[in-house]
Amino acid sequence: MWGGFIIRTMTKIDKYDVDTGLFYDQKEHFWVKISGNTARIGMSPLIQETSGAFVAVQMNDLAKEFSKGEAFGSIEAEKHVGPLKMPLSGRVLKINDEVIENPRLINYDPYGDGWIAEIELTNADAEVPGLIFGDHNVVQWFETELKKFADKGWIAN
Amino acid sequence: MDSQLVAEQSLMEKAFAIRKANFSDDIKFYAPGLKSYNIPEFEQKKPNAFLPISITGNACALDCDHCDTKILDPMIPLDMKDGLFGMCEKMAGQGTESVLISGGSMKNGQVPFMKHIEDIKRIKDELGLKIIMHTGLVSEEMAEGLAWAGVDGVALDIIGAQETIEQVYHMNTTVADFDATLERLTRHGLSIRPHIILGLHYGKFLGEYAALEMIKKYPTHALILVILTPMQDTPMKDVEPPPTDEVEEFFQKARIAMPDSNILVGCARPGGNYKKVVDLAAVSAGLNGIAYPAEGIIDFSKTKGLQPSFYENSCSCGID
Repeated sequence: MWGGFIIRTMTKIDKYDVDTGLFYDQKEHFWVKISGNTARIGMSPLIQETSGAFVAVQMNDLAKEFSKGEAFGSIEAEKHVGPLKMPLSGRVLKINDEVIENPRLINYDPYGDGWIAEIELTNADAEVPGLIFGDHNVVQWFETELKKFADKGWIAN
Repeated sequence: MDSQLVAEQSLMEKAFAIRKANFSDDIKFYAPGLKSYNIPEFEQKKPNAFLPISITGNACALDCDHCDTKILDPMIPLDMKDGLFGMCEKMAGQGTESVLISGGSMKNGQVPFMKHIEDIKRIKDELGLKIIMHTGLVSEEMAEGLAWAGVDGVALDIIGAQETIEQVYHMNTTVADFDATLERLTRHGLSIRPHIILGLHYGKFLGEYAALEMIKKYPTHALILVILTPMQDTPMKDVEPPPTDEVEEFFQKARIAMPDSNILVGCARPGGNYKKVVDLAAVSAGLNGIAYPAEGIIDFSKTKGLQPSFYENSCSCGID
């Protein structure tokens, strides 16, 4: 059993409010809020800024089980077009219809109204340890990502 | 079937037939490094291949209602220390093959690039980069300078309605000034890639067909069609983009009006389902290429008997 006891902790890193009480998929920059055998997922505040204003979120056929890293939809923003890849294996239980209707919620409130989907986890014991977790680890990872994004010119120094 | 639907089908069939008669089956898809782009049919691999530079940073003397300088934000600002040549030299060392040299306009609608014209020539001669200039209106001296520097192409928005020049751009120029610019550029042997922004007048069609009539008088390397995309923090943020059926009709009429010129759909257009509809319309109307195509459009083009090819530079780089 993962999560359940997590206390939401917002930490200011540079100009970003980062919830260090959540799990993070370091490759796709999803935050993952785990509760028992389900998880709610959304985009990290760094990705929402580097992508610019989100203009469309579209889902694939959701009536199947997705493997970790498999595309379950796609996202289109001012500066980014690409797939939405599962941070953990599972079935999509619910998508956030409000985000489909108004994708800019991801920009305005990435941890709140801008959540993207809820999934039933099918391989949590094997996969969750691969996510970034813990206040210190999340801060360290986020700071490293900030430097990487700045070096690549994706965000201003 | 009602008569209007028959007429629409007829226009589309005529447009596509013109394409088949005048071009090969090649259709070009572009994904320049202005945004990261990855769809199942087309994965961007060289995001640095094409980069846009703003020689004025985010400064612009115009306060156009559709832009309000926001279009300059994602461009790379001129490096004051290294200068234009120095920054292009670094870019070339990191894999850049083409650059768009752009910037904000002065009140007269001109982008002030002449102070960099010697650097521009060096970039072409010594680095071999493909250079597309976004110039705005140009004087005789500016046209001469561009020809001297040997730039590969010149891109500029063509406005066909005086009301739009005054109300949207707040410029003290005329439609005739755009015509004169095209004439000068052509006379100096420059390769032109004029843009028309569909729905520029607060989401309504107004000067687009006049712009098309103006452009078709000149040998055009590629006509680029873009669509008003309301941007946050601009006076047009709440404007509705033009109806897709009017866009579709313009695509068809443009194809018919310029039967042997390349016509491409540029980066700027609204996203989501709107983009899918207009991209389908572009392929069906026989246009020659699309930047950042919507998912599924590349496969659709194959069903029309076309053969897609892929480029990681701007459609303003044209069809070479």
